[in-house]
Amino acid sequence: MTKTLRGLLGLLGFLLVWEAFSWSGTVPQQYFPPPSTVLMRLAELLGDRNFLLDVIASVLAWAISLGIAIAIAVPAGLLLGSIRSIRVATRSIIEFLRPIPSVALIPLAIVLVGAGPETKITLAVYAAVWPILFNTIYALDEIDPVMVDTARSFGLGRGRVMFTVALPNAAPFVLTGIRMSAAVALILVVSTEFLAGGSSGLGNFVLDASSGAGRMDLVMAGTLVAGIIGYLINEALELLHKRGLRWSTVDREAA
Amino acid sequence: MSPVHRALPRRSLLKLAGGAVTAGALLGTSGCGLLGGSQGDSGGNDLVEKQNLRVGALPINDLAPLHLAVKNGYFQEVGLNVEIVNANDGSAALASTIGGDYDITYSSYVPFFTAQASGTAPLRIVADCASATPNSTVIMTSPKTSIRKPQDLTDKKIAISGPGTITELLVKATLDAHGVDFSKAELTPVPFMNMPAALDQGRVDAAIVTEPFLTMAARNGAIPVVDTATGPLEDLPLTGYGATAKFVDEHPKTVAAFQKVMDRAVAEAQDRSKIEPLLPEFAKIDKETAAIITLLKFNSHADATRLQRVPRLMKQFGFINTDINVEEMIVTPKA
Repeated sequence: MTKTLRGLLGLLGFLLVWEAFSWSGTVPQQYFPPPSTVLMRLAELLGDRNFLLDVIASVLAWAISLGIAIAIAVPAGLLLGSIRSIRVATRSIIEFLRPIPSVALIPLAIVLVGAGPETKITLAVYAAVWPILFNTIYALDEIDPVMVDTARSFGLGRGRVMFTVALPNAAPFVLTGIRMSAAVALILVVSTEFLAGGSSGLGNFVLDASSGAGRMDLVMAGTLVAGIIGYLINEALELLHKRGLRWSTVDREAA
Repeated sequence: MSPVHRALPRRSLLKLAGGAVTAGALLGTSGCGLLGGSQGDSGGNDLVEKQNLRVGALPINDLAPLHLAVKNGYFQEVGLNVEIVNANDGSAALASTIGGDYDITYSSYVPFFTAQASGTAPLRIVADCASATPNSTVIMTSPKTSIRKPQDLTDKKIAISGPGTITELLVKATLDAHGVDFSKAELTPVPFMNMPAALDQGRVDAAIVTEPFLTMAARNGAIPVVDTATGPLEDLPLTGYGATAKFVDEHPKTVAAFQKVMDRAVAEAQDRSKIEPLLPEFAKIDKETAAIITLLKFNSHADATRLQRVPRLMKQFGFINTDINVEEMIVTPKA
């Protein structure tokens, strides 16, 4: 309770500073509207069907991207983490691909997969794969050899050990990776919509509001919604972590 | 970790993974419409060769007739399903059209003719969109400067929307028409939305401002120096709809249907009350501003004689170095 209260107080303080800054006249209010205006716009937007469709489009693209990223990164991480030769062989290519900023790949993605939801999903998957992949590999490195040896001595094969020992042991790390990737994927979806244009999505809404009429109040309201979505996603995953992996001891060090 | 607890999380973990995969698959198949992608097959029907059209656009008021036609279902009546895709700028939209992502695109004429002259791709003009009207594209300055007439703009810093755009052409042609040496002026790219602020803060001496930023700049106290829609640039065609020659050749009925709908929409758009309510929706212009901004003159039929003025000016001011025969580029609507 006090934790929630403290959080709310922090938020209130932030809004007050913002409001004061907007009214101070350092920047014209037209370009930096106060939260009172932005929150009013936000309330109006939540009743706007087109805006809600934009939000749904972004959240859907995010969910699909994260799902695909998990489906790719977890098995790949298990493979790379458990078979040393593959890991050594792929290390340099992974280290080369990983730091490439996804938004720089927008033109390439448009040419390869076409403009549309495919572009943002492809790019978000690309960016979201790495944190999950690395956390999975790291988790397999951290595994207590005694556990593996014990499982082996009970006559378990490589596959059984993977599923009964390695995967549960890796779960908290993987989930931490997913939490990091969730934010990355959301950023990628919204920024691709903003940079590449399109017909729907939160980023596209912000692009229209800024380039069409310079409506900074709408731009900030849209940005705020993206922030709120990111916050809710993280809270949900954290809750999942706490409830689902209560037995885990690593959440304190990993989270 | 105790063995009692281990079985449970593993099972729930697998369940969770299974659920996520199922949900992903479901979202992938059913979510396409909500994702904003084009729906249905891209084939034709008995009226047109291709029924799902992706039309490249920008969130600006020139597009009002197109949005009007989509909103009122005029395209459906001729068998078309039009999806309006907003791009960052006209050249980006044109690039996506040449790349085949958009079927038809809106752009100002300058990128069209630049691409045509460079031989990037043979292009066709499907329909005209808008031409200059007084007080819609004005070079403005801040009251803090001493600039009051076009002659004061010599060797000043003037904001344009970008290099190789219609705004650069308009500024050069306007300065030239008033006997000012345009080569001495420093043209700086500034996005339209930042122009009122750039003027206000003195980062540029003048800026070529269009609606609705013109109204916003005027509200901030900016004063007009010269209206570009006067003299040699009066009623200059500014923007239109184009497609690649390949698309036009392969889809004659589709293009004809598009032209027919645009004729109807443009005729209706002459009545301002029909489009004013659309501006807050697609261009995000607030209602108060929408009521007072100056709209461009909407056209639909591309006229070779009128359009020829644009490449002629472009050649004169060094945008292109070949002659372009506009007549060959225009897709003549069928009677």
